[in-house]
Amino acid sequence: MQTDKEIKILLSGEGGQGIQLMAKILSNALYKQKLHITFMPHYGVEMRMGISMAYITISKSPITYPKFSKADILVIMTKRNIDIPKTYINKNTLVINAITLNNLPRERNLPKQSFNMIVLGIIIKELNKSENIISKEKILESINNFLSDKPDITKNRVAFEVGYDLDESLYKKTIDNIRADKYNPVVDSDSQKTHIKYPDVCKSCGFCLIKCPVNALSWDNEKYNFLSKPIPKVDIKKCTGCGLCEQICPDAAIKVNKKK
Amino acid sequence: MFLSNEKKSYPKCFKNSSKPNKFCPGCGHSIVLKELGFAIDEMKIQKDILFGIDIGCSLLAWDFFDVDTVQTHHGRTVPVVSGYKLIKQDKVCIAYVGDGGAYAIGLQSLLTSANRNDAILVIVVNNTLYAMTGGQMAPTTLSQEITTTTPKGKNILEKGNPVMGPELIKCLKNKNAYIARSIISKPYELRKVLKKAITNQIKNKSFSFVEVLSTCPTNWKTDAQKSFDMLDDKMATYFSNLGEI
Repeated sequence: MQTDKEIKILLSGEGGQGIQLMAKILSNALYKQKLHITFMPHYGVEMRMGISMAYITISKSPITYPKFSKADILVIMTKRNIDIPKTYINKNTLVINAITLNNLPRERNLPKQSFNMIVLGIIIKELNKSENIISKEKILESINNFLSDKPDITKNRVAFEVGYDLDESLYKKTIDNIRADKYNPVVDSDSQKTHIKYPDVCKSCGFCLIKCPVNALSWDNEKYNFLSKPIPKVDIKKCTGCGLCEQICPDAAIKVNKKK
Repeated sequence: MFLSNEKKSYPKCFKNSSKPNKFCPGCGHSIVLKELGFAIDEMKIQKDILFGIDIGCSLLAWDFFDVDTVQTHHGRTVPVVSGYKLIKQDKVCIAYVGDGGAYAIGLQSLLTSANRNDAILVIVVNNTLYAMTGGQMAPTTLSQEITTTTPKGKNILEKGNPVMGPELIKCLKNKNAYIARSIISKPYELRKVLKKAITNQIKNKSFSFVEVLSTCPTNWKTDAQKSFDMLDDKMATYFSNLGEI
């Protein structure tokens, strides 16, 4: 990447993954390098579960407009709504597919929340490939500024180093084959009733567990919903088929059929 | 995302392409809208509905139903919907607002509409705070409740008592009006109340008002059990008059 032209970076991920913090750390450090930079956050009005994107433009001359239609570097951190970031790709776009790195923090004994710092490390490495735009130390300084009141700041620094030293083959993958996951209904049944759960709409609020009068429901740690959280599982021997869980479920993700 | 006949626990008037909906996990809005959907289905009035939504978390219902929907300025849902009703007398008009929109910025519109006996249904979802902006104190915030703007608990000597909406409208002595309060932990009773309120609008051409006590796990910072404790103990103790008022 070279700063003669504008470098356009688009970060795309789930709300809560730390997209905006990554963008703030990066743009703050670049601003202190006396570069021109714009950063535009882009997210929905929801308080939870929205898609979060950040548009960053870097240049040596003044920037006229902060938004763009094709990105030079595209970072994808979630499978959900993947069709939106796909429209920003042209033949010069460098795609960083971070979806496959989701388990990396666990493998390296790092907290789950430091995933964004790993990705930040990858971005800095790719930025510095052909021309040294920003040094690693400046970014670490910027991380210190933003996260100085957090207890696990050293883990964030370690996570950044992990991303900076990561092998290219792990993240440089095409995203053409990636589709949003399909979730099939989970059916439990015996001779008297069927208990169906829909992971494509369940949000793991836990209301059904509270309302069940015979405590037949518990969390299923093997099946996950569209937010990658566990869905309830039913002990079909205990279940009486009363249907209170179906009634209280805010998302209509449970259906109980009682055979007569 | 899925076939409509695959999901039998959905009301038929739901718009399937907009599900999963945009509300937080455990949000009371979803339960109120689900029961409203069942009420609309059972009364077979899907084609006659005008659904007006306010600013706040209620606006996330803009594509929730497959019915005519209008989104208005903050607190101005009631006048927009009652204006629509003046032109289209045969429509069933529903204003869906939060407690901030109804009791703070939109109170004057709500009171005059109730006083004029406009033939509309107003549903107020009361979760004791302004949820979308991050949990600030609202007119309905309970005594000693911790919010973003009352970090040491609300002092009712300084800030005033929580507003009792249905009782306030009852004071107008509008004899035809149907005024009720319900709670999301009893979904079936909530559906009955909503059906009665819609019937009052259609048959008696009168004002209907339903306040629903609701949860907000995101801003209360509670899990499922604590949300229900807050709802069934603290809220239902203060807003104790459940059912028709």
